[in-house]
Amino acid sequence: MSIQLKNLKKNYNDFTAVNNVNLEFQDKKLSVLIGPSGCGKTTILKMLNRLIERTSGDIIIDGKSIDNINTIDLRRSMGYVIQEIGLFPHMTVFDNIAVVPRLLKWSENKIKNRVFELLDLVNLDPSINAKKYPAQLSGGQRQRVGVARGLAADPDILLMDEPFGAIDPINRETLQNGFLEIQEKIQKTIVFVTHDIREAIKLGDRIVILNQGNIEQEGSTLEVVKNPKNQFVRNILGEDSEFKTLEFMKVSDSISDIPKTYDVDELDIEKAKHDDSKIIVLTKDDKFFGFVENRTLNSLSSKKDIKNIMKTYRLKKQLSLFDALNIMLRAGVSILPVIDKDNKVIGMIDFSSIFSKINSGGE
Amino acid sequence: MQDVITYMTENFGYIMTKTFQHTYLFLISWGLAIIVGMAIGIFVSRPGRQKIGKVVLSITSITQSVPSIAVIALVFVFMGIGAAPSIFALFLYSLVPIVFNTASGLLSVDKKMIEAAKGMGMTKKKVLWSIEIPNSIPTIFSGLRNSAIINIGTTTIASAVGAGGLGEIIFIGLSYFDYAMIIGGAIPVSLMAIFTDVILAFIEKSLTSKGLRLID
Repeated sequence: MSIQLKNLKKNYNDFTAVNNVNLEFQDKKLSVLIGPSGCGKTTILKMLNRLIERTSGDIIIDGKSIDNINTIDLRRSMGYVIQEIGLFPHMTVFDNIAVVPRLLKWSENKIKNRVFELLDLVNLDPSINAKKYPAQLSGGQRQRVGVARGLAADPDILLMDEPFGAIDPINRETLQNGFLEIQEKIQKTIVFVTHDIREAIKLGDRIVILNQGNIEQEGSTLEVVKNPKNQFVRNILGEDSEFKTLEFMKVSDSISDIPKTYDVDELDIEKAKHDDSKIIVLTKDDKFFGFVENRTLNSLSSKKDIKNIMKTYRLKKQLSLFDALNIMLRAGVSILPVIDKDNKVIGMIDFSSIFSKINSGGE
Repeated sequence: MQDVITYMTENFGYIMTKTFQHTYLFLISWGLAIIVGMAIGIFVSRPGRQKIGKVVLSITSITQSVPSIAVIALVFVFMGIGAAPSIFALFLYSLVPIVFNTASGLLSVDKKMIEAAKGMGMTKKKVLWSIEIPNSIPTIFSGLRNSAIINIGTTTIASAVGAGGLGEIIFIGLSYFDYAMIIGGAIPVSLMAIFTDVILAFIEKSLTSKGLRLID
């Protein structure tokens, strides 16, 4: 479901918060609104669900002006996720997620199935967490409940207002990765407000850079990063914006063919030495077990010692190239096997392919 | 001590009658105060009435310091003696903590939480009943408990203007310097106040979500 903003304007007395914004949030895409505080990003978001009434202009959802939709129905049809404080402290995790389904008068049975399904989706064990209260959860867990709550009634549109803002950097990273995986599955039209450019580049399919109520630049993430229109956009992006694009590019888009793979118990070292593959991946029951670099095989006298030279570093396919580079540096290798969520080896990635990926602009 | 027990057993019927009278005065005036007080508290805390809310909060917080006897005396001057003027005076006096605590409780609910509730599509009524009131239960109840205790105490004074109740026993005892009678009236009043507070504490606990108790 796409959302169009037409000459959208919001004035507070003499102050113009949003000034004639024309914009489209594309269907099934995650669009990030970013800019310094007071740029109008949250105001735009809240005009979408009419928590703030616009001064003039129009907002059109799926061809229909929001004026022609009952405000309460409009809000129930959009997920709304804000900083963790938005969870209701007097309700259990279950009841928090069930709020909108109950407003929509779903049957309790259907609600229960949905809540458990969502808790699974956000990686919280329903049997442990459904009955807990927000005060019994960590900040990161609370935020995941917030995401589950936003998705409860399966809305086509999700509004997210700095949802990961209050989380510490390490957990934020985990939440962002988890959220990307979820979005890959659910494919919602998401409007996401943040002031963190790293988060914007990492999560956004499209980025809208705002300044004092005006759009400075808008486009696909790579387009914006590669061709900043003016100094303001360059300042927002920061000096290392090319480097940041690594966060946006997925390992799964850069993998080359599957390396030579042997079951660890059936490995024939003499034969493996003559493979032209740079690394040799070992599996057990078809699952990733470890890998060795071909050049180190020569130092091996017996198969028993394989564990001494074997490395267990690997990349999950949903990670970003930034993570890949990081793990390569940590492992001290220039090539790494890539696995899927079932621990099956699906390919490998090497340093030079990451390099060329940046230069080609991710195409 | 022996005298007190003797007095209380010999006049058991009289004390019970006065206790019922006392309870009646208390329940009627306090019950009305709850209905009216909470209604005012809710009314002034609705969005757009923040200014009236602040005014009401400051008026009620000032009136809380007016001594109870002054309220009784004023009502006596304008309405005369008897149960009805007393109930009116007691009602007015119990109203103040209820309005104050209801309004301040509702006004202190996190605005972001309310906005989240609205953003999810709750109607104003639903936000009030499902979000604001459950989160204000501890504050609202401390107002109810406060006003109940004050009311029971003030009802004792109300007997001075002919309302009856346990105060009557105490005042007669005072005029005769009859210590057994004074204490015989004071004990039931004290028990009533303690008993009421315990019951209200129990109700408060059962109405307060476990999720809120975990926060403190």
